[in-house]
Amino acid sequence: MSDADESELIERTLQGDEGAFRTLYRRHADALWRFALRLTAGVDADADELVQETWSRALRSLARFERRSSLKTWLFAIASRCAWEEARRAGADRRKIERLGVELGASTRVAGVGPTDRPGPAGRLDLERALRALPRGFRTVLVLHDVEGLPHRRIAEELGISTGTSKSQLSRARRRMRELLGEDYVTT
Amino acid sequence: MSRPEDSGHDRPIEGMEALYVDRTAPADLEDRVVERLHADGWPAAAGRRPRAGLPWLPRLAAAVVVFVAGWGAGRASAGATPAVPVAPTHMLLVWEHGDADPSVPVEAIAAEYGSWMRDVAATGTPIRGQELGEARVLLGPEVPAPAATPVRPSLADRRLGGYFLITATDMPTAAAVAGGHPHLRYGGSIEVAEIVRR
Repeated sequence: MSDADESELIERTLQGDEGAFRTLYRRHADALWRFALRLTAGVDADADELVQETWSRALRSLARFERRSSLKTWLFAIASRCAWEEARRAGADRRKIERLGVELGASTRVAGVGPTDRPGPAGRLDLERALRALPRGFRTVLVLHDVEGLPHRRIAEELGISTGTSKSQLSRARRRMRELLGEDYVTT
Repeated sequence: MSRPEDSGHDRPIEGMEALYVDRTAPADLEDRVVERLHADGWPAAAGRRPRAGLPWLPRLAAAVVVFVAGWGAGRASAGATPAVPVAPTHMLLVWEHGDADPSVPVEAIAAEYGSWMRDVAATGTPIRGQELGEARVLLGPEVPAPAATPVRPSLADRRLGGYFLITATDMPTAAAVAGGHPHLRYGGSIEVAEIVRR
């Protein structure tokens, strides 16, 4: 897909051409959904909703998309911000509830997560469970850094946080993952 | 994916990159995205400044069970309706009761719900909806003690099963829309409330 081709599709989308939008959507559908799936720890319905929210925000600001990055990069940044905002809201809600004495851990903890050194498919299953058990904010930074390969500077820009916060979140995310998986966790 | 900053014990978790590489987006997600954009007012709203902090958490909590097929069908149909750049004015709260008729297959109920949603959309009434997940935590003065586990959402024998957001000129119009929902024939009830904007 050439940049010119994508630019034309964006222009037509801005003019309300649904066919052009659908073409754009399909070109990024799988990559964006897989990214959303990682951010939502493998919960399909959550990934679906994150993708919808991402496109919703993207279309509202598409006219101001300066094309300094690819559309895919821009979409991923929007999805990351959505996930981060959600993490902050969830964290605030959890703290509010905890102040009221509700122990949410019993109902939200993912069953089956615990130290393991099982390789292969079992290891992958544990990895998914551990990722799901991770606080959303940790998970967002972990995915952006360890899966998408973004440096802390970019993560900080996209999430509106400091590089120090990004680094500390990543460190805590990895430490928490290792606690859940066990230090001897390996995959094949 | 290793970088200099990954040295020492603070190294990446092995296997992360391989997660979900074989997964592809659901086939019906495209239609749902398009419907969502139309509900947002696209194309008229394209280029507007995005609202901050959209509340997508409640919809995230939606479970993929009974109503998805029916509601999803309704959403897909709504995507074909003309764009109406207006915000929802009324919320229809779909209450489930313990005495709902269990003899009707859930697939049939879901189909009816989807058909109702398509019919509403076909009249030009913007509509969105979602089922709500099973687990709840109830807070408030009527709760004797904070609940530590998922609880029934009400002390009465009813459960909030989902909601719709519609755009209607006034309460009677919204109530008329709600009055045609098949949920009412299955022992459930629907609460209509105006969305207040201050």
